[in-house]
Amino acid sequence: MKRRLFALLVGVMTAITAGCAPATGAACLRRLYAWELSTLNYLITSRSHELSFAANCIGTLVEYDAYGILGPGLAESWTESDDGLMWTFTLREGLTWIDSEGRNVAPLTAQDFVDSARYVLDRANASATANILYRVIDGAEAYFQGLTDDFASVGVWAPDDRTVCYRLRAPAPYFLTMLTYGCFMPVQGDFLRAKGDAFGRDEHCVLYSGAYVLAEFSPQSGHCYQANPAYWDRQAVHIPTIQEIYNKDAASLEAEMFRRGEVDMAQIPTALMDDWMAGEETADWVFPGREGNFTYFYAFNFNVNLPEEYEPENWKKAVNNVNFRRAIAYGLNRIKLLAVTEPDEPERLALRTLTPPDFAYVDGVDYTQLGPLEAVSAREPYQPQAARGYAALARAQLEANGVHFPVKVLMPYHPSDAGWALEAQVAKQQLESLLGADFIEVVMEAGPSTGFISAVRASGRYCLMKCNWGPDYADPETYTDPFLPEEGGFNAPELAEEYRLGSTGRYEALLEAARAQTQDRSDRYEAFARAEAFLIDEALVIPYARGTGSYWASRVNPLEGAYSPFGLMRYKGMRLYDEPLTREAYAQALAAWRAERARRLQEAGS
Amino acid sequence: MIRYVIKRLFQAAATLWAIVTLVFFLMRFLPIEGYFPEYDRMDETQIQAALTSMGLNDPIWMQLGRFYGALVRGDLGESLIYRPHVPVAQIIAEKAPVSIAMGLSAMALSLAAGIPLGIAMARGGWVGRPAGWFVIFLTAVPSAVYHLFLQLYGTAALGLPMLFSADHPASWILPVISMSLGGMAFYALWLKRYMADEAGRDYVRLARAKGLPPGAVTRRHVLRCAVIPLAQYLPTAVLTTLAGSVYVESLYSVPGMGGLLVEVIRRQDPVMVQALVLIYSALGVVGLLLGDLFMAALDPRVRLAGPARQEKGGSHDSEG
Amino acid sequence: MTARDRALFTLVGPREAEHAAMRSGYSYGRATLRAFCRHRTALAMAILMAALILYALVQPLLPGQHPPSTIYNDAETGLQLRNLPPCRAFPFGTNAIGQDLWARVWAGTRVSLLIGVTAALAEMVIGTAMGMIWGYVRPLDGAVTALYNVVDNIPQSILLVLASYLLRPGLGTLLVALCLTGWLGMARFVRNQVLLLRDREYNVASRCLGTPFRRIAFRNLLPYLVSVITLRVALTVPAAIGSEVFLTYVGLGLPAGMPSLGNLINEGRSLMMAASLRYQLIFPAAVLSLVTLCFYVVGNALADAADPRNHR
Repeated sequence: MKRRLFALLVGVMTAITAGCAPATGAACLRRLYAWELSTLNYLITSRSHELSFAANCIGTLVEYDAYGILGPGLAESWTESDDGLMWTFTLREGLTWIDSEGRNVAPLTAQDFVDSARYVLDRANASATANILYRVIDGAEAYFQGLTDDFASVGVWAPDDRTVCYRLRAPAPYFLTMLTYGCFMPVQGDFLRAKGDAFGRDEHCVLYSGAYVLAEFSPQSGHCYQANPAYWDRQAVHIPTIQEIYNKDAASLEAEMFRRGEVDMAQIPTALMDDWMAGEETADWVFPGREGNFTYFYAFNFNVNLPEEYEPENWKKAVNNVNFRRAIAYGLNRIKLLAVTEPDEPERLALRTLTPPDFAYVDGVDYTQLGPLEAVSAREPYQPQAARGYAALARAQLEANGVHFPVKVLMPYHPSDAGWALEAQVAKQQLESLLGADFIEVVMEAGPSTGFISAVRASGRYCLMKCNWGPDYADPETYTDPFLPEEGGFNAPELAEEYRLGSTGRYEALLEAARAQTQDRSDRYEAFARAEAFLIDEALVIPYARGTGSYWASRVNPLEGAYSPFGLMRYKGMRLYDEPLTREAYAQALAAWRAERARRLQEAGS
Repeated sequence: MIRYVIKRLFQAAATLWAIVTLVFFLMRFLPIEGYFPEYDRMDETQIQAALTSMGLNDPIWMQLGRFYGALVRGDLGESLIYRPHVPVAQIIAEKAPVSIAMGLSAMALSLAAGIPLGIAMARGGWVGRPAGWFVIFLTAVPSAVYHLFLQLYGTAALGLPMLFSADHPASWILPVISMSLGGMAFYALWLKRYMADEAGRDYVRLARAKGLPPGAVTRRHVLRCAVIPLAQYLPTAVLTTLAGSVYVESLYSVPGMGGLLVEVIRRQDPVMVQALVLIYSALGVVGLLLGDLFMAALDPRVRLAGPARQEKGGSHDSEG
Repeated sequence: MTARDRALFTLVGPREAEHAAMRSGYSYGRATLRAFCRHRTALAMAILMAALILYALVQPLLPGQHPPSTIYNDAETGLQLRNLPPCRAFPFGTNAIGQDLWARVWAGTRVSLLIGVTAALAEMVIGTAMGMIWGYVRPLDGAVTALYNVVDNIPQSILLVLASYLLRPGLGTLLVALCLTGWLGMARFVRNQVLLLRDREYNVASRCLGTPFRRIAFRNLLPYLVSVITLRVALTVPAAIGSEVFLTYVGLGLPAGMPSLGNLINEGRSLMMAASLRYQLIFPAAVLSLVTLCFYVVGNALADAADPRNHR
């Protein structure tokens, strides 16, 4: 009996063992990941980890290089009409689609960009990125809304196999940068139609035109990428195989695995930093990652929907007083809060503006230094004395207005984000001890672990909460989305009573003016800077920090990969080294990279 | 006997039917967000159109009828959120073999180590006492903690990879050991308790009075009788290996069923949740049926009525 | 009594003296206690358990204790005293934002004990009541057995996870989820015992005399079940605490801000790979193990002691 059971086990084990054998050694980059892709359909998803797959596997018309400069991609050249509305792209010759086994399936033609747009704009496909497409392409919104069935009225067409044309609804200086996003990627029309709903279901239900091919996709187990032998720029692809291994606790495990040489890149959690810095060789391996462009901010909610116990009426009166908001805005010690997750250099992550520096430039000047934003960037946001002064002022004004103190401030956090829960505790204690527990009472509440956003932010069940936003294209407008009523704004600043101008708010008017600036980039950016400074100066939103920026240890140099201000991790261009990158080597490379980027930006700008 | 078997079969079928229906209605309580991966970005008309096309706006009895029909055909539906448009059956077919293979290996190890441990504990002495402390340790220390230590130090000491990989046989060792520990403690404690209870029985006294040495009494009499309650418990244990182990599988990246249920519940994939609850419940029903039939076949004393089942579970298997 | 009855019968008071003479000197409770005390380890564990519970309850009132959620700052730099190793002021050290781990562990123990005891009490009350009705009221037997088979065959972890998911994560949700399923096992157990006892002569006699069900249940049945119920309750406490740890691990437990042993262990898990911070996992795990061990050993010893065959 036992022997037979054993034989059975051996049989089952060998049956499982047959799989994609990862190449080991220098030819294969191994790393862990904790977020599984739920779909490979890059035309409908807006989740960044799913779009990272597409960024590596699907070609785009234009591409960012390692310094963040746009250059030719699948298109070898393009022209823009004088009025900035017509864009014509000429594709390279000999582009092809291949499947997951590396077989050549079809040529890549201009029609593939039209088919992709048609799919994204089809309501039935519920693409999460359709709005990005229809906000810029002429006629697309009407087609999306079902006002017309005629796709010819949409400004995307292919006059011949190698020419793609886009007609915009208004000039968009940032249009080229949008083309690297998922909803502008091509798709082979016949394949898409043949697969139907199954498109993007697994590695066999996608065709590849980018640097890599997803040769194996085993959910909750791993991904195996192979360099695409038919890729137009295959000389720039240096790592032939990439093995991504799934682990739910990747964040706490990968550092140890890197130390043991079982993976080639790892994020080093701050909790481990002391141990790593004490280690003889590990101390050399740690280097700080490039800061990302995700922005975090604390938002005051002007459209609360709270249960009675949190005194919604009292909050509504209080939040509409600028001194009350300023008391909290100036009183929030961001450095102390950031020290929870970034104890060593919290200043590195702190932001004074909503749009992070180094996102957009005009004539070599950073966006955050334009117009009134210059003053905002120069000002120390934490001013405890001023905060107390505003609190006293607010108290006098609000008590006359019937507000009773302490004002209850409901501050929810996500229950499965341990760092956030800790941060919320620090924020509560810090604010209450500075402004007085008789002034505000911060109420911490864990939201639901699933559907957190819809249950808390979207339904208005908060007073003050940390929110975040990531850019979708390289124009300051992308950072205004969270505050627009038409996009389901986060905190409805347009309802702030002090700034009503008839039927609209002052912020909307400022935005309107900024969006109308489509001719001159410098005017446009300055107008957006005015709108952003308004949000910050009037303390409608408290800028807080930028995302990521943790420490890394790695056998690849991330500076070699494509860089874009809103980009996704691309393996193209990276090399795998035998030895881990040392801190000094990285620092030198980073200084060189910064200088070169500044030089090239200057070049491109002029 | 045959009448009993038929009766039990009918009972099991009725239970299954009741579970299927209950699960169906439970799933209707789930928020509709669960049906759409991009719910936040959809407007009301889109949602209504999609609900109608999925048949979720039909009268409830029609949906129930369709649900029975699909189940009878063996169609568990397609995942909505977890992996959109992939048939649930395919997802399970990819994952279940790993969990079963690992679970059966772990179970074999649990039994192979747990039974001697239990006997040693019952005997006491210089072998039994440390065995007892080992088992108590396994029961008391949360498994979420000792699995971690085993992974960190075990892999370092044995020079093994930290994660499971299907084509590296040595990487099976630690996950299987980790997975077997809970069961090991359970079987050892159960056997010890059983032997202590049986020690006072007349047949054991008689055997001793006959002059049999204690070892032979244990082997020939006590252990032989212990097989009967085990026979009732084992079918369920074997079948539920399919569910995998949440802790061990996620720790070692084993691509099995372990965290699947929790994952699909957190990701709100109603079709997946429905299918998994059905499968696990069906396994429970079938396991109980097989257990009862085995026991009836093995033990003539059994009164064939009512749920007089062996107590299951110790504090260790809170993860089910 | 009617007047005629009074004429025919005379009331006789209890004859204490005769009863006392007839007693064997055997008292079940006392014998159980004696048997339990013979088990030295169990006795030590029972004392330890009492001490742990007592300490957990009075700890906040003792002098020199810190509140569990206050963040301590360095007097000079104003920054949090994060990840301080164990020292005199903080016996278990501090966590990542400078909260006292010692206070948090005891606060967590209180929360976990509250969860365990509530779940055990609910199991005892609901399970016993349902089990008695199920076993005693014959017409209900078939229906309840069918219902039981259905609910019992949906694995408990699924019900736990489903319940915590459908409701907002929190202490109330966790308790509801545990109580929802916990009583099933107890009910079956009591039902089987009641089936054995139901048709004993003295119960039949009581029924014939028209004694109400409630009285039979409390006077005739319950005393027989006390020992087994105690055992199950003692084992439910650590099991419920374990369930809390499990649910927290899968992200459906208590909110992260609330100190509970499950949350502390979960926070500690993420620090496992940092040797210098491992104490943040080890201390809560050790206290949890100790609590589990006490309940486990005491529960089992109680079961042995409650078995009349072990009464010498």
